[in-house]
Amino acid sequence: MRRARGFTLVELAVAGLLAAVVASMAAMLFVPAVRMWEQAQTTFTVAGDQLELRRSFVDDVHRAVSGRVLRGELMLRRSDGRWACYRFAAGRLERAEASRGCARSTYLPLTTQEGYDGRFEVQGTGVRMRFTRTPSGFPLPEVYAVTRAATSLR
Amino acid sequence: MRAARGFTLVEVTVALLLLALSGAAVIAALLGVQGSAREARKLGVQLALLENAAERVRELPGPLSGERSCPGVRSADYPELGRFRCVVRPLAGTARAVQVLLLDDRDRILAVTVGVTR
Repeated sequence: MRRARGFTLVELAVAGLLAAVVASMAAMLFVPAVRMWEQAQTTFTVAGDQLELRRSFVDDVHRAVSGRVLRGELMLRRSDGRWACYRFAAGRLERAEASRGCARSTYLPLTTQEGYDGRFEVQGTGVRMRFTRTPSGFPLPEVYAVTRAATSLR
Repeated sequence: MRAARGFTLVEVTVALLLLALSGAAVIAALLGVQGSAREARKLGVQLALLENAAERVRELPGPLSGERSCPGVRSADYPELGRFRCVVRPLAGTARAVQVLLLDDRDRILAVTVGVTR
C-alpha cells in the first residue's frame, strides 16, 4: 500500500489560489448585494420618517397662531396656548412641546435615521421646512404648511 | 480500496455555476427590493408635492376663474418626478374648493387631491 504523504507546495498553492478565486467571486456578488439592501432599507426608513415628520409638522402649523425662527429653532405657539418647537440636532429632526418656551431637555427625535439637516422659514401664514442633508443622499421635498388659526404668524 | 481522488473539473465547474446562479438570484431579488424602494420614494414625493400645493392654494384668494399652475411648485424641487405639470382647477359647483392635479408629460393624471382657497 502506498504511504500517505502530505500536500506538496504546488498543491497547496493551487488550492489557495482556487479558494481566493471563489472567495473573491462570492465577495463580488454579495458585497454589492449587501450595499443594495442597506440602501433600500435607508430609502424605506427615510420615506417613513418623511411621513411621520410631515404629519406632526403640518398639524402643529395648522394650529399655530404665531411662529418665529430663533437660532435655527422653529417655535410655534398654538391656538391651545402650548408651544411646539422643532430643530435639527445631531443629524435628526427633533420636536418639543411645552406650555411655556421649549426647554432643551424636552426635545425628542422625530426621525429614526441620522443624517438630516435643514432650516425653517416663516413667511406670512406659511411655514417651510427645507432639508439640506438627508441620510439617503437623495433630496427630500420641502414641507410647507399654512396656519388655519391666524391671519399671520408674525 | 479505491484511493481518494480530488474533484474533477466538471464538479468544480458545476459548483462555481451553482454559486453564480445563487448569487444572481440574490441580486435579482435585491433589485426588486431596490425598485420597490425607488417607487415608494417617488410616491412619497408625489404625496409631498400635492400636500405642499394644497397648502399653498390656501393662500390664494378664491374663487378661481379657471385652471392655473400650482402656486409655489417648481419642477426643479422635485427631480425624482421627471417631467410633470401641477395644475389647480376650480371644482364645479363650489366657491372655494379646487382640484390639485399632478400630470405627467402627456397630461395623464398621476395623482389628485382637493384643496380650498382662502
